[in-house]
Amino acid sequence: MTAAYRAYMRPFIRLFTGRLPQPPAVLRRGPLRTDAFSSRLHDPRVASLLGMWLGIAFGVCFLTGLVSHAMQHPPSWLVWPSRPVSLYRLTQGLHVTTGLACVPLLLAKLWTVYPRLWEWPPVRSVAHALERLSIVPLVAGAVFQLATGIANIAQWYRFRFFFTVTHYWVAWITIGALGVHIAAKLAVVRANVGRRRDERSRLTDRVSAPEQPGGGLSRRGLAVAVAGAAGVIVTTTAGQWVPGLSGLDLLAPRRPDIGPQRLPVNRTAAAARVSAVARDPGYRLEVVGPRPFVLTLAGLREFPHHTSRLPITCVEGWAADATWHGLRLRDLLDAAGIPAEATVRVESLETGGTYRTSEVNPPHARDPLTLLATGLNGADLDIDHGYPARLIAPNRPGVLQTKWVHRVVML
Amino acid sequence: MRSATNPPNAAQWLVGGILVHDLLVVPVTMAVGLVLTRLVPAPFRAVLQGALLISGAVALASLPLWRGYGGPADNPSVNPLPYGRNLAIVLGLVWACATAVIVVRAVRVRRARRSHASASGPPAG
Repeated sequence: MTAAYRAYMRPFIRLFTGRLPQPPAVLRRGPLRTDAFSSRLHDPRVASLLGMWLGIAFGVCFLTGLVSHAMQHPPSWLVWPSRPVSLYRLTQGLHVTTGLACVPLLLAKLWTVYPRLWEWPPVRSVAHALERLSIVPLVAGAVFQLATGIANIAQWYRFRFFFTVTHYWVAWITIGALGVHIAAKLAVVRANVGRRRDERSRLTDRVSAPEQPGGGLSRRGLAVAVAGAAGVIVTTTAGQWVPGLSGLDLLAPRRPDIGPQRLPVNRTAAAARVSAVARDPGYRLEVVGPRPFVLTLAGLREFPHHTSRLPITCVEGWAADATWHGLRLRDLLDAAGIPAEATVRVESLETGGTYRTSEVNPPHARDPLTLLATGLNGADLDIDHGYPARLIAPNRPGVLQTKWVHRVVML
Repeated sequence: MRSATNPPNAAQWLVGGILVHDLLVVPVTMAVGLVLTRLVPAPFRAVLQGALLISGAVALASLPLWRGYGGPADNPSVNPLPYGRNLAIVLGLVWACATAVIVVRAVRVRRARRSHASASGPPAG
């Protein structure tokens, strides 16, 4: 840094870091007193360690959330692969499970720093005021994301905003505020974490004091309890997407083997208002391409059938394996003369709704596992699973596995 | 976009989250801590605090389920389990572990007291 630059910057630095006048001491009452919070858990080292775990967990939630968003609203430069088959099961399962595990982490972290809400003086400098203000979107966003996520997986809608869009935008607010927070607190973390933290203690005035003896929960005890809480939450909910753990699935909103034909349903035929039209014996499947054709119900049965073992993987974080049988999508496209590099749109009998149609890009459209399924687990598709025909493709969110399909159109 | 995110309503929930945490969750936790300090002696209080923390977090993470909130009436595959019973099973296990730790600590305290008493007691004879 040159001397001239330093001289140029000095007024700005003074503006931000100059001491503001101290408020009168008589105002320092109640929670603002020095000794208002006596718990030995209000400690910068505990806060730093919990903050690091919470930061990792929020990072996982944010990245897996972005994956899910990109899958459903793909940017033009992104072609999502159809393999590995269970990639989306993993990313979305991690998203929900990590979010649930954040409940004890976030509450414990906020407990350790709660006295900072009542720090004295409330504002030391402009920089200090800005740093304190940046906590507002961070805490509001973090609590909001966990609360709305928990409500959404239970399909409990007490709020009047559309969940997916709002959860997505608040994620950006939260992660932005988290970035600012990490930058502001990096010195505190470095002074309190790591084997050589003593050498870095001059970085801040927020250095952990030796733990006082006491009869309540110790710092180590808090770590054990928080890890225990996260462990219990993960153990009793991860079974809704992890194969083999469904026996431990006690407190998750779904069980992979409960539903019609032993498979959960997200949107029933009644909710989609297709109960009558999907059962119409005059049903026709229309394939629109260079050589368009139409299949009746009998035609659907006569077309060569294949079997795929594929999971249905929901955005709400549950996944269930099933054996599907039906027509290979790529056979249908070949029969209609649709070229291998074409994207197709699959259309449902539904008359409206966000997920009435979905686009199938070449990796999924040409994957030999992708079916226009007419049967499930050895029987005809249940009406709630999309009778007479539904899309089922590997590595794809459940909302894009369009049900009650009646048209396949080349784009 | 404006109608999808409903900013006035989203703002209510954002600010509401902070207020509920800072003015309800933390004060209630402090009140519980204060009661425990008065009622429960030292080596056992930490176990109770830990078990309460786990119970509260598990109950909060599954709140809509055991309260019976949410899930469309026509779709029995959403929230299909007896969640009240399941929560009781899970918390029962947590408190069984807590009880075991308390028993171990009680035995240790008694042993320490006895060896302390015999070490500092009057010499025999």
